Amino acid sequence: MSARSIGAMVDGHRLVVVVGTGGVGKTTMAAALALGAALRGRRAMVLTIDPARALARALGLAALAPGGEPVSLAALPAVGLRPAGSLAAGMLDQKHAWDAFVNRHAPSAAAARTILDNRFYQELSTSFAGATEYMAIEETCRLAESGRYDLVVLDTPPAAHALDFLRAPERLDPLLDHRVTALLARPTALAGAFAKVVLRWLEQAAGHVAMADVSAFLLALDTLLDDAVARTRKARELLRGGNAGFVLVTGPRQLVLDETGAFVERMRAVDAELTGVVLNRAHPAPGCTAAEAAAVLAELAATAAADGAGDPAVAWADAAWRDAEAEAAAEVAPVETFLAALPPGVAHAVIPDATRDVHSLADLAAVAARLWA
Amino acid sequence: MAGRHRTLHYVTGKGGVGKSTVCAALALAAAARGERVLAIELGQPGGLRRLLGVAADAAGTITPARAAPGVAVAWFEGAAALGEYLVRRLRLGRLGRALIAHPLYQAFATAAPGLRELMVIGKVRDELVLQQVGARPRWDLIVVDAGASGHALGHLRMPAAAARSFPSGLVHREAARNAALLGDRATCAVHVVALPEELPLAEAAQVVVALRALGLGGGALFVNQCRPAAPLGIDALAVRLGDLAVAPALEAARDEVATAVRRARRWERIQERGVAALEAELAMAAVRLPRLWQGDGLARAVALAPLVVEATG
Repeated sequence: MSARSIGAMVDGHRLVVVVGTGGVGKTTMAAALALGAALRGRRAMVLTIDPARALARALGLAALAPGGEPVSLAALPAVGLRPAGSLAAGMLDQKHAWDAFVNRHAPSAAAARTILDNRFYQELSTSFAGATEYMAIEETCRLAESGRYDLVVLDTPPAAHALDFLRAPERLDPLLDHRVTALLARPTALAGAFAKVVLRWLEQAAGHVAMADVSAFLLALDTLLDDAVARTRKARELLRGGNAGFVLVTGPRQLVLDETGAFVERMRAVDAELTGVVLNRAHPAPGCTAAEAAAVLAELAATAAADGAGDPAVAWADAAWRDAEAEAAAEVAPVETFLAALPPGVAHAVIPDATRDVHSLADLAAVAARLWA
Repeated sequence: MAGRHRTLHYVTGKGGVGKSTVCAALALAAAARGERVLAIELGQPGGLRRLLGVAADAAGTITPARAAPGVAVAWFEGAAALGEYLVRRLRLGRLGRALIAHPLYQAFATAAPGLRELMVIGKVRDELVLQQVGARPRWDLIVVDAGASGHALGHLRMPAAAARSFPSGLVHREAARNAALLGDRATCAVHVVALPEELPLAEAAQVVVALRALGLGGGALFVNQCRPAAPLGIDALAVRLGDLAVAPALEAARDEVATAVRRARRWERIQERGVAALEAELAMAAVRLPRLWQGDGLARAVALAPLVVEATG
């Protein structure tokens, strides 16, 4: 384990983003980090995008409320934990968040209505690649500024998109361009010859009806342009240059680690500060030699045969042991290589595999304890 | 062989379940039959190209996989695919680059939902249907690693959605053609991969239901990394193992082995219960792929190829 724990690093941040490839346990780690902070006296909030039902249950929430709801920590004293802070949890409802965004930044109710009713807006707010990511950052910004929390932990969609996630504010840039809306508003007067070619060409590609809709949408969007540009700039600053800590969750398998390594490189390229790495669901090397295990299994086979207990069961147990051994062995080299390549100063934690998901606050607190170990 | 089996295979599933491995298995098996195979990744280049030993190239570049003769790899990404595709379709030539760099075009491409996804599918269709070498199609089989399920579903529903959003024009015609290709069960199949654990199995069920609602059902359902089903008497044996009288020097080893067997049995129970529930819910049989530890990713894909091909033919 590294000199400083991931938890200790998180103690120094007000905003932590949990990233990683799919299926590695990001949501659980995000919740564990927030709970750990709450146990240490902070007012912590975890914002998730797609929580497993088991986690929502663990947090005592039937369905996570979009804006965040306090989580009762009353079950913790029973397992010997006395939280000094508080925990809140929320799930991002992307459509709701976009509508709220439009309502906040539109200059009038009528202007907001025009946007909300536009067919392209309705599609954009739910299906635009990066829309969820952008709204997650926008919400996080608002939560961090609200002063209600000392720490906001943000869970993210899988890593193929986590880079989108870091770029999400930029991805809206093409929409937030006064030159475009100026052209669309008065194409004949303002547009140069080339812009007219572009317009004609787009119309040919999209058809008249759709083109008119897109234009109407972009023009309506123009009314909330300056406000929105200021927000995206702020969101960008919030994520960069050490303002936010990034905790990367990964697994011990070769393919996952390869993908994670590439992701670490890309994070560096966009100036996101990698705070810590959680190696989740690891299988530590067995505490005995292969020869010792073989001796035990031979003994088992002998006594089982003497009692007439089934051969298939013995064979299954034998295979199960060899499988466990092979699984642990397969993890050694990729994990070592991965950890050696991490930038200096990055904390890491190894969480052993368990045969059940996190089902309760106590389970979550046990994970948190490992992150602060 | 041509026309006997489906030629376009999409593979999806929750992150980390082995989509790339299933894709590679499909590709390698077809190449072994002497077919020319294109393996495509969507979005960021990732596991599949690493598995097939191909370094990252620019989006849209098709690179032969040295480690897998007969297989070529490409990754298609929305923005690049959209520009390239439109330039070619509209025969814009050199003017095209300037058009695509124009802020109007950029705004349009960002605002128009699903356009990029649509064009990526259009590019896949181009490779499958339009590209010819002599009288033969350029590819006998195309495998697409469609990424995590949410992403893949968003992608696959796009042609039909775009055909509705754009009632006329080139985009409408493209969307309708692409929707028809995806929906053609004689040509295209979408396969779902899961792990034998609670969450991945639950997600796989949701994905299959969603695919059926889109008219894209009919692919195979793989459960990767399955353990062999435990025989009768395994629990009694596990107890016996825990209590086994051994020399003091072997006691630690006995406890270690007993723990490993109990854990394996717990996972196997989760697997059997989960797969049975999934099969009942979806009224279809899942294809179990075994856990493999020997060799690298490529070697595992080769080992799984016969099982994968049998299920996807």
